[in-house]
Amino acid sequence: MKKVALSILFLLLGIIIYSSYKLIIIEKENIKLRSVINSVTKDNKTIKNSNINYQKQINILKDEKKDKWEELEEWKKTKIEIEEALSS
Amino acid sequence: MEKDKNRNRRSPIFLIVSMLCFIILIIIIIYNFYSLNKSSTKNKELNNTLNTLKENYNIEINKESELKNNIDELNNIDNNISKTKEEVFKLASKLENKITNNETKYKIAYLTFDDGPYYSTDKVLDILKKYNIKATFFTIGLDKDICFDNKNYSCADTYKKIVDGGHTIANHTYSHLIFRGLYNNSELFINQVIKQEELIKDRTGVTTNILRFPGGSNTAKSLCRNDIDKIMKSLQDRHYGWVDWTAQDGDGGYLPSYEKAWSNFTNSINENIEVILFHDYSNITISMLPKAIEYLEERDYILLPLFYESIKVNK
Ligand SMILES: [Zn+2]
Repeated sequence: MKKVALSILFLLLGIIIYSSYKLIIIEKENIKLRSVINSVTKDNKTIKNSNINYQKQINILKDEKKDKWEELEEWKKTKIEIEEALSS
Repeated sequence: MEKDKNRNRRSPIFLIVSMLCFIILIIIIIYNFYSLNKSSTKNKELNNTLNTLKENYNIEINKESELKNNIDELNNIDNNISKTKEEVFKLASKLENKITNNETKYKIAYLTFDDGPYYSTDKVLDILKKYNIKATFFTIGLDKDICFDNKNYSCADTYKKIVDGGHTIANHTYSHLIFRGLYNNSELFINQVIKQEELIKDRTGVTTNILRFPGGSNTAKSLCRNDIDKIMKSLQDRHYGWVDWTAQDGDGGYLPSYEKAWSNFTNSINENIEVILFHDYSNITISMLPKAIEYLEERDYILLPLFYESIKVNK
């Protein structure tokens, strides 16, 4: 009886130690993930802001060089049209 | 006996304590597994969030390089236009060869407008812009400071408008005075070509090397007689190419009606690479132009501006 009780006790203790160990590892990983997420979020924000600035810059340039930009787009369309004709 | 009695007395307490310990251990295990489960779910959530963030980051990185390219394109827009134009002409040369060898159903039409610029050239440019079509303008220079068809306007700026529209600006001599000495001798003729070349360069910054003889090469040959070889040699020395035409609506001569112009035009379209002669002063041509463009496009013609390397440019 005593032996059985001790075995159960050790088994339970083993389960507790194992699950605690697992818990600590996962929590550690979660902490690491949170910090990675924070830094990626920061990077995302930075690049998003820089892209917004680039877009603004593009809009200003497009406005300044509207006719030229349209001409370039038209030439690109013509190029695609000829390429399609060549590959037909 | 005494010992047994004591053990029996301790037994229930021992059992209760053991049970309590057991229950506490079980509670700890349940709590641990509950926390483990919660942490694992959180872990999955965090991994998903991280993946989404990384995906978004990659999207933004791609967007960034695209935007940077766009900025570069815009900052070097003139170079990019020239580069794309060069590529278009190289491809067009290949297409011309394919068409000549009957290897494609597609055809090419070069719309050309002679003797301008006029006040009405603006209308032609608007129509071409609407259809996203580039054409060729064989310009002259004499009497163009005042538009022939509207004395209140100057045609001096129209040369630049033609170039800004992406069209090919080409040489039709400065004076076009066919029967007043243009073809009298080779030197005079070449001087007229150079004078117009300089005028175009001055007004647009473009140096052209494509010429159309006023009246066409046959007129030049018949009027110049012995001097034509000299003219051709001089043109060659100046790296000029010259172009006639293969189709027209007859707007250079007497045109009684729109219908006549239309039938002239449609009857003359029968080659796979057409150079079509129009004059940008002709109101009939201008009113017919949208329909003419649609007519050609429906028949698989790709409408392009002339370029030096084209097989239609004689060298
Ligand atoms: Zn002419």
